[in-house]
Amino acid sequence: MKKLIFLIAIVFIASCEKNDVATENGSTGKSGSMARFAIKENLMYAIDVNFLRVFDISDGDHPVLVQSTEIDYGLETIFIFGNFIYLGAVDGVFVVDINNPTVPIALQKIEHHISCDPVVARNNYAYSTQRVTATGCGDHWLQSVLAVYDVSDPNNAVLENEIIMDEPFGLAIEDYWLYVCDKSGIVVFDITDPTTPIRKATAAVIDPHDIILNYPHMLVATASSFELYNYSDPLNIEFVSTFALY
Amino acid sequence: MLRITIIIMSALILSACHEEDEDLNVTGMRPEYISYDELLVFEQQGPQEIVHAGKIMLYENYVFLGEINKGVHIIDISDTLNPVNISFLKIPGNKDVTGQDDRLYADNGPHLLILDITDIHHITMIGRSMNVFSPSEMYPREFAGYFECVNDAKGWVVGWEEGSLENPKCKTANM
Repeated sequence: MKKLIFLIAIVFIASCEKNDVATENGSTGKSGSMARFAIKENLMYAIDVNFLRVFDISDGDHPVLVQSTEIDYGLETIFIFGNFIYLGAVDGVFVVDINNPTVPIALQKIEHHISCDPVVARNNYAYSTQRVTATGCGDHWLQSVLAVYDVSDPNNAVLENEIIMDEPFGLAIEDYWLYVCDKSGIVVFDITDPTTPIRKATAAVIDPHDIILNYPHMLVATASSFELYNYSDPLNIEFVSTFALY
Repeated sequence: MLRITIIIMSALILSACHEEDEDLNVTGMRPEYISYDELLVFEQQGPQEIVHAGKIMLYENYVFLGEINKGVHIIDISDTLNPVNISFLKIPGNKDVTGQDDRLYADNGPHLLILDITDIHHITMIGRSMNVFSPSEMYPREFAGYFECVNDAKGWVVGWEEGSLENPKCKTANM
């Protein structure tokens, strides 16, 4: 029997606090939940297949690798919230303490089905998508889901909820809304109760993979293009434009 | 309240090298390499068509859209009604970028490339931190089956192509 593959995306909610931090001289890039690099103040955290690397970029022209913390194989995404880093890996999410910013300490691994993709977090909650496809990683008896974890105790995450999805990829959060890239489009959840996302609408976007919220614009990378939407009314997301070659 | 569900999957996607005794002709994946010298070619080019859109990173009014293992497209969204694909940065072996204070940081195989993006139309290379990341991936992602084992001596793996394999010594553990 052909095995189906699970791609699990633990997605801790993206928030505006994440990356869009103005610095004295300029600005800092803002990434989607699929990112492998993240900047906090003058440190850049980067993952490769099995390490979390910390670069001091105080002198922007000469980054210095100050720490390499071995985590495990299969690292895919990074997300920073507060003094914790959430790393999405093929079979779980690692919670990493950066109270001492240059000395990351891996606290726990929230195990999940084999998967791929991102991690985002806000306050005490983390949201994860678990993608099942016909090719790739994982096994066939599970359904794709969006999982909600209570991470208020960073050493002991608690699974609060699981919601069935099609083939989810990246996601983002803002205020009381959670936006999830799924096969059928961008699914909008009301998360007024953070443990109980309520599906409210789906914006018709073909194969969305990664999103960045830059109010009032939602930037979307699809399988083959880049598109802009206006999400000032989360229940009625409108197409704005796509790019053109000059 | 639910206790965390711990799901332990023994069949990890991480591949296991595997010895085969008999003649085996199967369809599987073969690594595509570029040389370690080719990795060091950085170039700003004119706009290119998007083939496989990867991750996005927003820096001021510019979107950096990854073309995995090849580089990044730069899209100017100053006019949100008319975003313009202005340029392509050729960065072999690239998977992600981020930026701060007019500097762009990009992985470049095992190296970290540092670029000056003050003038988006004339991006210049500041330097490269050599061998700060792990060696290339050893197995094809999102795939279950046989593959030709990676040989680091042949170069850096920038992709996988399907083909017929004779007596492959590697397979994913999830097949």
